[in-house]
Amino acid sequence: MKPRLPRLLVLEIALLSPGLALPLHAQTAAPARPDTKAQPPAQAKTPATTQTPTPAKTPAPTPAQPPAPKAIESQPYKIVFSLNCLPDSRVDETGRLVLLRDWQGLVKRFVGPPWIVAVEPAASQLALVDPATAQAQQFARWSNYDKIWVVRLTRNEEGRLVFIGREYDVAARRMGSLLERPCDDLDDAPRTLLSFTLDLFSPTAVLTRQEAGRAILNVRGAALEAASNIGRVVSKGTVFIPLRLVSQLKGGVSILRIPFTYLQVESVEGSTARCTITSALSDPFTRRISRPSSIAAIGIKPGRSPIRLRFTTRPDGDPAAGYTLTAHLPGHSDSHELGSTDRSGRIVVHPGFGDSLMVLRLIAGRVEPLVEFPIMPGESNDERTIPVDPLPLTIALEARVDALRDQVVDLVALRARLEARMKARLEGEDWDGIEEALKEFQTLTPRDTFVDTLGKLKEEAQKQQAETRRPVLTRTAQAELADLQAMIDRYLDDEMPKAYADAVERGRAAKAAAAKSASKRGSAAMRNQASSPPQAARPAPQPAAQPAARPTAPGSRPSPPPARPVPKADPNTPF
Amino acid sequence: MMPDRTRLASLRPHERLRLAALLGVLAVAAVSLTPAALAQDDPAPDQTDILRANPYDRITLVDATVVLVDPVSPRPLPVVDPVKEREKQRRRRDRTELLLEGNIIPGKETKLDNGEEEPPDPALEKIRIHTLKAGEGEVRDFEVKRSDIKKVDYFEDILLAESERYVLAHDFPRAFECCLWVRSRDPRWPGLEDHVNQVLYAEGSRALIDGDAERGQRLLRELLVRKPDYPGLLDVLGDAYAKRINRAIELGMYMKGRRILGELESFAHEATVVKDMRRRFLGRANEAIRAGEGKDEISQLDASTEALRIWPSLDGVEPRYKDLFAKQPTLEVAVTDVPDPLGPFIHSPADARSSRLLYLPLLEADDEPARQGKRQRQLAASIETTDLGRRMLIKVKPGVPWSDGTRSVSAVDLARDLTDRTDPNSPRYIARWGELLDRVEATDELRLEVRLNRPPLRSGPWFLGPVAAAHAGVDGREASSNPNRPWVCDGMYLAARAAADRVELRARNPRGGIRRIIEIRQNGPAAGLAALRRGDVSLLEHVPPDQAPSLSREPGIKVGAYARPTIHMIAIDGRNPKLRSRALRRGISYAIDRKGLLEDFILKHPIDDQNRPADGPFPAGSYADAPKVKPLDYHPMLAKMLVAAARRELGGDLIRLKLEYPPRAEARTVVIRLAKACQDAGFSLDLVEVPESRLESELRAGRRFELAYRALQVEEPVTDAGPLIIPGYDAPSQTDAIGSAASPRILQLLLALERTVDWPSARGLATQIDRESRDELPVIPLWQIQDHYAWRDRLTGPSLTADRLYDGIENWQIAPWIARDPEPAK
Repeated sequence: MKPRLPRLLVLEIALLSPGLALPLHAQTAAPARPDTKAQPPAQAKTPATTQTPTPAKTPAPTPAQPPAPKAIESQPYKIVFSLNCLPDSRVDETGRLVLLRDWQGLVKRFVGPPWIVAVEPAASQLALVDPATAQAQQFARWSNYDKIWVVRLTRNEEGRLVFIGREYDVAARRMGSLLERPCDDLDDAPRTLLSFTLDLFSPTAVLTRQEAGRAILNVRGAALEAASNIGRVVSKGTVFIPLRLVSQLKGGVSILRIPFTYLQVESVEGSTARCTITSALSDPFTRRISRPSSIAAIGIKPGRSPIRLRFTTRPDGDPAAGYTLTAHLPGHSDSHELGSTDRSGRIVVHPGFGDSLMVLRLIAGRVEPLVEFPIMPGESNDERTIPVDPLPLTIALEARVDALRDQVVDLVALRARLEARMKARLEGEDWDGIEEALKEFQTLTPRDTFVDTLGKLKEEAQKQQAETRRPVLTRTAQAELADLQAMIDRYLDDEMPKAYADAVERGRAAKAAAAKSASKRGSAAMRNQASSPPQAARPAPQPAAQPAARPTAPGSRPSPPPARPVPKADPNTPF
Repeated sequence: MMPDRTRLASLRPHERLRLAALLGVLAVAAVSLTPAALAQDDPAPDQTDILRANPYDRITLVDATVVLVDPVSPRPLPVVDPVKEREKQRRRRDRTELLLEGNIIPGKETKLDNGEEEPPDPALEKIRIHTLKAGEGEVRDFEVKRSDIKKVDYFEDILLAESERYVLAHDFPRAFECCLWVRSRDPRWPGLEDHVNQVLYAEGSRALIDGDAERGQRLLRELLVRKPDYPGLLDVLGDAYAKRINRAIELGMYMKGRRILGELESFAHEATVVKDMRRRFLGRANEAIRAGEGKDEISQLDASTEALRIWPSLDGVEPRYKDLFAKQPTLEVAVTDVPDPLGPFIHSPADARSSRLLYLPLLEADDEPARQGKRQRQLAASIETTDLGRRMLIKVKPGVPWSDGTRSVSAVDLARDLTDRTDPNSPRYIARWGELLDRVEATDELRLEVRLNRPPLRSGPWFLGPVAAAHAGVDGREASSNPNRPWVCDGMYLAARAAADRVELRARNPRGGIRRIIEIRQNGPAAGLAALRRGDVSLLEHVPPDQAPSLSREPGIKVGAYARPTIHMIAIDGRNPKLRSRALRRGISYAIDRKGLLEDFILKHPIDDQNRPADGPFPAGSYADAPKVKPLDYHPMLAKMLVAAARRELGGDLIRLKLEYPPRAEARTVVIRLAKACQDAGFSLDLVEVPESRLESELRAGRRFELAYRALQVEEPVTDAGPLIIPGYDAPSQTDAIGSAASPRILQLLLALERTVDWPSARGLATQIDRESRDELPVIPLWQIQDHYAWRDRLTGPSLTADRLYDGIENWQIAPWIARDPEPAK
């Protein structure tokens, strides 16, 4: 049994959004042709793509009695498709028709029922629309369809055939991403066009509920069985952008995009898609809206438009220049750098930095994140302004912490080297050598200096935070401070030199005692004229707490101090 | 076995005793040596390298046995004729033999040896030898009859034979060593001189074939001294000298050619080749004179100068040259690099040097007299500032003509220049100015209103650069289709010619002073020095620091110092992920022994206040130099550890970086050592030399790089901080140039400094940048050096200290001068 959209919700959508509601009545009221006000071909049992008939020759179909509206998941998408072969493609009208015929065959084989495609003739006004600069107003005459695809076949700078196109969703009143797909061979063009149209196609859905932090979507056409897997309307990984449909006082519905929020399909059960919510907002689907509203969603795929972002600083609105923008997959920590903001705080992120939903992060200093938000690569060419708090005091604090850490790392390395030398001297019972190394050890910066400095840094930051009432000790800053504190505690203990100093003392004492007893034994032997068996060599004294082998490089993790238990692996090593 | 009597007599008593004991032993061992007795296993000493072997002789006995022995004595042995010797022995035997009929026959003289015959020479009879190879406990000392010896190969002869072999193998050093060894053993050894001559000839000839003409000629000249009539020697030498002279002429190194010709004349003054070469010089000089005939004065002067440079004693040319020079006083300057391209913009130190001669700035200096129009060499008659510095009313001096004579400088030129600097596609683009400028409006022909987006800390520095003509192209040349479009200038000089290695400027004022300046790019610091010493140039822009003291002591040369020290540093491109690694940057810094390199290789004297290691981007003594900054240490061990850590951080691959450096003396001297230090630290450095103008202009345009050696003077730390630390600080944003900052923290401080409006905050920020740069390492500071320039005393006017090379050039004078050949040493 296919899941059905609750009747109430269907009605609500129909009321709030005529555009979205239209598909619900598609079975009964086919979209009128823009030119002739004729109805589009009625939905067949097995939907197929159709060539839009010319106005003069096509008689208007007789409208049937409207049956009960189908559930959203059972409704196919009515699509009008315009393919314009530009002259530089060197594909004439016959070639275009052959291409479309082959493509229709492929659509039937691989997609099947979910799509009902009407192909516009070459002379259609839709062919004049440039996908790159297309505006929603240009598609007003085709509002009876669900989706409008405007595709051009042309050649790129390298001379390769390329399909460039864009989708317009009538219900959501939203232009899709500008897409491009090269075609190596004209013979292969139908298959390339199929892939391209599959990329163009964006499913629509309604948010039915939220469940355990996940959004549950009812996807239109998902209940229709596709001819093959690649023709499925929704699958795992499909990304939707949520739209808030708010009914206005004066009637009508305003469609608002919920900014920096995406839904990514985690699993599909029938027509229901369970999605993770990736958002820069804490409560993207808030119900605190004064007017009645509901949430719909439309699919989105990576496009080829550069993303234009502009960051400004709060509260003065100055450009946030010189900050680094990184990108990572949602739920992953491995990020890569996209560039840095220019003097005006702008950055243009060229498409191709990711092939799925990505999370962008603006970083100040070395590690401090100022803002983090999801985005679909190549989604839109429009510039978005994002205000950020530059956290100058935090960045200054982190710079000082970094400098202090550098000193600690250097000191750890120097101490490790000295310790290795002392160990070798100890094994050779070279007490003078150990003393010399200990003297050198004394010249190094003592641990307490670092502890004091770090304490002062913390105090100062707390004071600044209290005075300015703005965050200084951010989570990152606190983590940095804690890491450094841990490093000092772990690697800069004073037990090791003390142990060696004790070893020297005991070694010297043992040596003196041995010499004394030897002289006593010698005189006694002379007195007694008795020979005694030779004494076994006394073992060299060892430090009370034998220092463990220390690393020779700060890069390698130093072993724990002698008297301490071996700690667990610590990720906060110097490197 | 008898020891040498003379030596025996010289021995002391106790030595005699020891020798007697030894002789006793030898007497037992000394048996009558026969060839068969010596025919034992007697392998030769290690002869793989005779130069390392102990001396030995090789004796061939009559039965063809070869024995290697300690060198025999005397050397060479007296010659023994075996036939005669055998006859002599036979006769002696006859005399001593008792005849059957008895040996006393009355009336006959007895045939017995009466002892009156001279005793035979022991050396002719037998010799004592000490074999070099024998088994343990075996006898080594023998007496051998000379008659049993077929041949003795003396060690000296063996060495000479080996020398011949080495000559054939072209191993001349070893061949010579063989000869030297023979000479050390016996300077009068027969055949030694001939062998030495042979080696000299062979080695000299070979060197000439191999292209090492100087060495070849030196060797052959040595042979000439030893044996003037050596067969074919003069021909070979003559050819070699001729080749060198021809090469010098082709390269324009006429003085060197003449010197070589002088050498040739010294030993072959009558040779045909000498006459040919003289003719060649004279022909070339006359050709140069002919090239200038019928042309303008400047061409004639150049032709005369060239002719005298080729042949200083060319008849009748010198007076003409002096006459022409008096009309067109010409200053030839050896520079590290010339502006490339030349135009109304500053992309490199060479641009900064030359543009002040070609273009007048709006303000000559950033001070009040300049704002009031009291300075002469500027375009502004006055600048009034209102609205807290955001609005400026500029009045332009009237009657400053452009070099093309079309019109005078007007507000339109300034307006276009100021707006061009905001256009990212213009070569004059300055990103900071682009952000600062709101609008420019020319209210009338000589008045201009400039509005800024925010009050600047100082507006003066923006008006110190060259101003281009509005009617000229973006490159500062006349906007026409003429392929040789002239530059449109308004300064003291105008650009006449510009090539990759030479720029010629001509004075616009026809009276007095230096009428022409020719900047010549030198191929390395040594070439510049040599050109100054030869007199080919009268001014040297940059003297290598280690040469300045000695150069100042040379007669006819004066040395001046630049007022501001030059900061040397390695710029880092933070767009490279490797160089974003803090550990790697710290590793590089620790790997450099700044003090050692500076003292040992650059200064060649101890460091002082002016010349010392740097601890930040700003020079010591500047207000921006933060006090009490811990110096950057040299710690190879820590460097190694940090580089290893960086390597792990970056995935474990070998780190390989490219260091681009200009052909400055200091850079050339140290980059090899820097590469070695980096290799010791665990990463490799590829060195690439790039002309300074090209390197600087590309870096400032935001080109990607990895490491770049830069030497810059800091005029105003607050203004210069950005471009000093980030080469592409003022580049268009498309290049992501400010993303090249290796330290985001320092970048933020620089941007904050740029937006500062009050002077105390700016100073504080500049100091903070200097202090934090020590830890953040946005650049690797190296050292600061006081640079010098030098000039020949025929040029009068340069001062001993100057901010810039051409300071006060309007008052300079130059006298004609011909580089004559030095008198040959007597």
